[in-house]
Amino acid sequence: MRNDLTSISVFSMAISFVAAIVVCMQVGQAEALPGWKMPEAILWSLEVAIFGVAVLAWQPQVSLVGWVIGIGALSVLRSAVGLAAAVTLVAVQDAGPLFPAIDQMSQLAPRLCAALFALMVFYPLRVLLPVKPLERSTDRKRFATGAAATAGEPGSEENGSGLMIMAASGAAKASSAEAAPWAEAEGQYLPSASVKGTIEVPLSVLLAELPQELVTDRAAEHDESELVSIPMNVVVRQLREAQIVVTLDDCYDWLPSGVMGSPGEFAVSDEGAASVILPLELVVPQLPPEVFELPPPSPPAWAQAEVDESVVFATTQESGG
Amino acid sequence: MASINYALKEISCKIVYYGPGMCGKTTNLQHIHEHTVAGKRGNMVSLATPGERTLFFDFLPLEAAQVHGFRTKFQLYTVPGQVMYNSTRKLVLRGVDGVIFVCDSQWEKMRENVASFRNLQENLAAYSYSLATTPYVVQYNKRDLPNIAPVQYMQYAINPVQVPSFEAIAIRGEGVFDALSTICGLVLAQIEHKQRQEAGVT
Repeated sequence: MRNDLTSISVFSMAISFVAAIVVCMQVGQAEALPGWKMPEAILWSLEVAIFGVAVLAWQPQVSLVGWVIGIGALSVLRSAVGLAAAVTLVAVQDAGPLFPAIDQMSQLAPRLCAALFALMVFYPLRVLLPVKPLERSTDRKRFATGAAATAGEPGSEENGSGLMIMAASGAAKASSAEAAPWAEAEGQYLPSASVKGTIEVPLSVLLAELPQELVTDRAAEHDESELVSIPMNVVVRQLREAQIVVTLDDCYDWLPSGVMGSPGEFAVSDEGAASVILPLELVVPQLPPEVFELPPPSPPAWAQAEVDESVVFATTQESGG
Repeated sequence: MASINYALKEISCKIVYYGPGMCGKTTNLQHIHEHTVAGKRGNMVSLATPGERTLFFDFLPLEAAQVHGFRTKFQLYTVPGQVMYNSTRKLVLRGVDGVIFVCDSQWEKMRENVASFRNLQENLAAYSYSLATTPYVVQYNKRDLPNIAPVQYMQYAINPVQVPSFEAIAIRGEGVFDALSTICGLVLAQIEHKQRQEAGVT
């Protein structure tokens, strides 16, 4: 479930805000509640205390920054309600100049009223307050072994009913607060470009990929099965793109002399023609396994959650999976 | 966005099958539809071209057994894989709770797999979602074909963070329910975690 604001919550916030204005206006005017003067410092302290307790009650995991933001936002909201009530009072009931109306709304009763409504208005926004990061689970074994799990391993089928069951136990330990480090880490899985050595690609493959204007007659003198060496670092740094692109200048350097015309003399009309794509299926199998070694798993926070109850689907017996 | 109806004791979640064109997303859904007990699933809605390409999306409502006493319903969607239907893909991702990223294991589809995965990240970002907060699993489909890339390379290119992944032959149903059960479990765990967090239970 997401914490995003829904249209319903935005609507309820708007309704609460309008109600706050109306009620504060009435309370501020009520003769039964005369403007009982209290020192401003006490009013503010009371207000901050109410807001502080409310934020902590809503979100016990709130960080210090989140707590301060919450109190600040609620104070601003309370002031906005008071100001809006004052403006409305002046506009609707012709209550004279604005400043006395604002002062009227700053007294204890309307102010407490505005504070309570500010809490109501702010309630749907509480989920946006920053929370403290939880401790990361040290048990990552499941995901180390889970990588590239073969089909059929995680599930089992009961004989009679054909129910497929995923078994797991434990409590959820995920934390969305840990999402950012994972997202940043994703970019770190780039291979080292300092890999040494070469791979071999058949000459015929490269010639087929080159613009035919650049292939000279001397190419026919070479055996098609002849191999061309390509530095491995050129290939490895592009592996995650799943496309190995080399420039015509590079091809000129790697190919046997005279087979290819100088790329400088070739007028490039199409941008794609200025480069050559090497077939992955020829390149990847030649690379040493260590090139594909990944660092220890660093799954996102949600992936560290332990599923604490089975998810069962009623399947027919020949479900295959 | 998962919805929890406490009155009916019902949880409803949205799972999206994402991946490049012709990778087997609809095949996954068809297998699930054909091999689930009729009373526990709804009709599969599919809008496809005569060439069996998904035009808009496929939809299959599915019910699992009770979890914590709640009926759990999953709405399974696929997206159209073709590049030109990006606005539809984005639309289908709205309110997603979990993603099964289906890869085509053939060498010539590697680039499309990577491009589709990035497209998924971009489209999630349009809703301020991300793969760091949205559960997903990776399914390496079509493992029965001759011209396929090794899983080690596919992990390296598509799944370097090593979320749960599965080899699959969707047309035979192999790996289909494994991926589905795993993502459903992760989605429910995520919901439970958020509920606990909102309730202030550590």
